[in-house]
Amino acid sequence: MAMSAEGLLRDAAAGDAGAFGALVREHQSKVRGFLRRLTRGDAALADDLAQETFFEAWRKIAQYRGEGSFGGWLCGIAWSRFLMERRKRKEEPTEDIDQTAAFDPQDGSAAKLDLERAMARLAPAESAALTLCYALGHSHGEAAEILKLPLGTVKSHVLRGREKLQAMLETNHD
Amino acid sequence: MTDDLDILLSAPLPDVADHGFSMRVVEKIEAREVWNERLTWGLPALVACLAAPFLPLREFAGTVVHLGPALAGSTALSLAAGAIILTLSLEQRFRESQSAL
Repeated sequence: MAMSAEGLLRDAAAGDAGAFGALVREHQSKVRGFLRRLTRGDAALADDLAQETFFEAWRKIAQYRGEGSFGGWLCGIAWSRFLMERRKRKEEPTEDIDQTAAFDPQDGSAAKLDLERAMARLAPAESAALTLCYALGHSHGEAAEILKLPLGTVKSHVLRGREKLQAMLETNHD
Repeated sequence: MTDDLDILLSAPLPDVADHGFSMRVVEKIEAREVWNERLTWGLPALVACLAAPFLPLREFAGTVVHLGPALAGSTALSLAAGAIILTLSLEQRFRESQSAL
């Protein structure tokens, strides 16, 4: 019989690596997808960061108090891992990145590909806020908790990011 | 365009196939746990074994023999031990009640 998420969390917090493995299987797609978008489609880097995210989650799982979703908590760790990596690499400017190589056209329609390319040109915080609030279905408040930013800042990231995307996509269509 | 953008943005992120990712994470976690355990217990045990020949064990044993009866009869020591046991049991109960919530 499949164990409930609460049961898995309780067992994982008590040191059961098998229970934690079930949680990893359940959330890996969301965490890796989120990180792929932040790393502009660099799947290898995103997977390294996702692995580090789950290691940190394992170390800190006893600190998870069930406030907010477990997936959101993982995204918070993933975001801080991404920021640490970015500081370490002193990431190259957006213009230098070959955005066409970053995404597989077979992943979706031309419109989705255009969106991913435009998304890659946004500031990471804008991209993260938009992804959390739209694709991952978090509220602005939850996104603010995940990104450890004030609510107003998240709202303005969403608004500004959306405006930039709209302008970029309209330019593409012209 | 605004509606189209909302629809595009709201589409779920593409599903990322596991392809052994979860298994690799768990294997590495288990390997790290084994090393942590070795470091926690093995290293102090090894250091103790290496240091044992150089320790003044005979003098230490003599001191214990002399101090043992005095400590066993000490009221202050008994009270301190009782306070520690009580604190640990209460902490354990508190943790159990928190995890049950």
